[in-house]
Amino acid sequence: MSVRTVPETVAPPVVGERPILVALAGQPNVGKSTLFNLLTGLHQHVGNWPGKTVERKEGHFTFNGASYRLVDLPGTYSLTANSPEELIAREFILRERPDVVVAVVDAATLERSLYLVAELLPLPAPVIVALNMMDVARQEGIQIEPEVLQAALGVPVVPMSATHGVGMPELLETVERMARGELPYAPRLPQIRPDHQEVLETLEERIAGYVPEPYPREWVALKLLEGDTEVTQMMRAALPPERWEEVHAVLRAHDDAQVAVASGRYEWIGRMVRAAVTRPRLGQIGLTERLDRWATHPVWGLVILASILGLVFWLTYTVGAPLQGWLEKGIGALAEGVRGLLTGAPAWLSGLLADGVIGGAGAVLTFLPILVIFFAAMAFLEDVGYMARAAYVMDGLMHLIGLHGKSFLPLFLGFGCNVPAILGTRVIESRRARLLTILLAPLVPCTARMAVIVFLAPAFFGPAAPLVSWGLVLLSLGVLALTGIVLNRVLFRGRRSAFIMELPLYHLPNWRTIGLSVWQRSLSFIRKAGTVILAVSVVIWALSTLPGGSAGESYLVRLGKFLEPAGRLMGLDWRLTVALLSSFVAKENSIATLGVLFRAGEEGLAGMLAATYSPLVALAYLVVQTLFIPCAATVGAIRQETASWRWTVFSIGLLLVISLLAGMMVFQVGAWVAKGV
Amino acid sequence: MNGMLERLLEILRAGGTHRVSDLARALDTTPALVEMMLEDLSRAGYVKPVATCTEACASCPLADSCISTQPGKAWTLNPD
Repeated sequence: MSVRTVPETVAPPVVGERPILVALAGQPNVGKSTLFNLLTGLHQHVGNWPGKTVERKEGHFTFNGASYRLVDLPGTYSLTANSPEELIAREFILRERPDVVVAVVDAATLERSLYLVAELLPLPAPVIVALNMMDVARQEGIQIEPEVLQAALGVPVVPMSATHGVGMPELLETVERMARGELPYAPRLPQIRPDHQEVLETLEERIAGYVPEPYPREWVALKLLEGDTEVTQMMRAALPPERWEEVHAVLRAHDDAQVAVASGRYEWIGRMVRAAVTRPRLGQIGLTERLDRWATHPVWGLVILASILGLVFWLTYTVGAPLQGWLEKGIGALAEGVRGLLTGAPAWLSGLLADGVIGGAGAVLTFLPILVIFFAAMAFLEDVGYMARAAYVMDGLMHLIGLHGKSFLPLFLGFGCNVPAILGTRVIESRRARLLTILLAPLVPCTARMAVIVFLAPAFFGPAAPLVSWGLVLLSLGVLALTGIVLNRVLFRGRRSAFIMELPLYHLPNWRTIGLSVWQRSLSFIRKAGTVILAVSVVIWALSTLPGGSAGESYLVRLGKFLEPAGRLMGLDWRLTVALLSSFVAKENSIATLGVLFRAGEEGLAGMLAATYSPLVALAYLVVQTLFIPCAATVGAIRQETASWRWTVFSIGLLLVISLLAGMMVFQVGAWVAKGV
Repeated sequence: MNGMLERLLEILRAGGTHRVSDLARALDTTPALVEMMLEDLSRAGYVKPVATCTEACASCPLADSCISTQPGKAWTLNPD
């Protein structure tokens, strides 16, 4: 081979004889520019396509004594008139009629590249396929047989690796022989369905004699059938009005033809790939498929999801509970220390700091270790790619209970925080489906609710805490499903809708990403403890102390006693009832409130709670707390998204009824069973 | 017989949740080609890509710590 350099000038080097015109076509990032630079070296000129802001690269080279003019067409995925680049590329081939079009394709993503080839072949210029990036394909375990591809396509195929200069001589030789007409050229074109083939022929017949130069009639007919806007406009102007009406009538009667034409191309690509490509199912893809056989199974997938959730809780408590115990002792000692230091100070100051600030916000902070472990476990599952599977499996379940498939994504966001879940329902077009999803979203246990569960469950249930927490999450989701079915019957006729997901490959965890996520979440939790929770703790402390005099006469006690009869139905005393109410501001406040009300010292809040309440009361409380009306921020989001106070009040009322009924049921049934025993 | 794209539309119109790899198996082709077809159907208005998080993320209190900035792509059948 000899790609000889020529004097550095943009003008073609051969005078009197037209240089061979070669166009480089291909989608972006297939190595087209590398090939162009390799061939032209310094002999290139960069400008713009006439009237466009799209870059035009042109250059020249000589090979075996002949001069070549090389035009780098803009990178495009197809040749429909969707973008200026696509229009430029096809207009150039149609108007300039290059001697050879080199279609650069990426061997590693052959399907994607072949769509453009399918559109290049019907154009009036011979095509050579430069099968680039063969080395990358090989590394990925993809085996391509260029000879088979060549036979299937009916055009020359040259395997190469432009970055390594491999295959360049063969490509140039093929271009040379093609330009001289020495190579057989019988491209196998994509076909369309026989009924549409007839329509195509009718169109060709109707437009015959009116197609402007230099457009081939067959190509124009195909583009008309495809609904190409540029070609349609051109033919509308070129045809006499009555003939255009005829053509238009044919097109109107076959408005599904666009799909049929594209379908023919996909069939064609499928055939080419099946013939020439072997993909051994090894490595990451093979592993993902093997794991997904179980992880995305309609039944086993759910079992695996529930097991993983159980494992996360078990791990969280096993590792986190002892750490939380130590921290609780530390916070208790700190409160006692502050009380000791402030013996001479006014009682209200000592009370505010020791009971209000440390007892409230401090109590919430003690479960940071548990949360860190929980956050880490969830971040790990998210990072390795499991969470997408969880979404897929749950989406299947949504369909089983007659819910809109798209409802799942926003609901899934709810595990983090209910506010984005409510806002995320914007992806659902149907008003009814959206409303239903908004009503259900607060039943997804958010991080803050989980935080309350992870703190209280071990305090009450010791080793059985993972099981109880797991049960509470399952209960939430069960209630969500049941409410969904009931509301769906009343509000929303569940039309079957399709939902397609592309699941990412499983991969090894990136510890930095996981660490960063845990850090950010912990930080935002601490920030919340230092602001909202601290403020509510102080307010609760003030209400539990004011107006002074007997402790039993404080505003909070009065409120608690007023509400106690309702709480008693669920076994809750006034303190638990007040704690439940304070969770409206932020879920974690219920712990802060209990911290303030119990004036927890060194013995720790958890220990005091366990000593005060029976497991049955604790369970009833946890059930109500898990299903209770969401926090103020979520209610605000519901009002904003439904744009209706009626629906906002309905949502609050619905959750209030559900949670109180569930709590009552747990307590009353539990008490009845206990009596029987 | 209908072409591949028409068969894909038929499957989607029957409803349900599908993985790209399942669709590829059903059509005897590769996931990459199915993805291309979905993009094509999306351009033609038959399916719609689902904006997974974009809008919700703007106001999400957990956005800073969210790992799922690049979740797998998802589509849904256009109801019209």
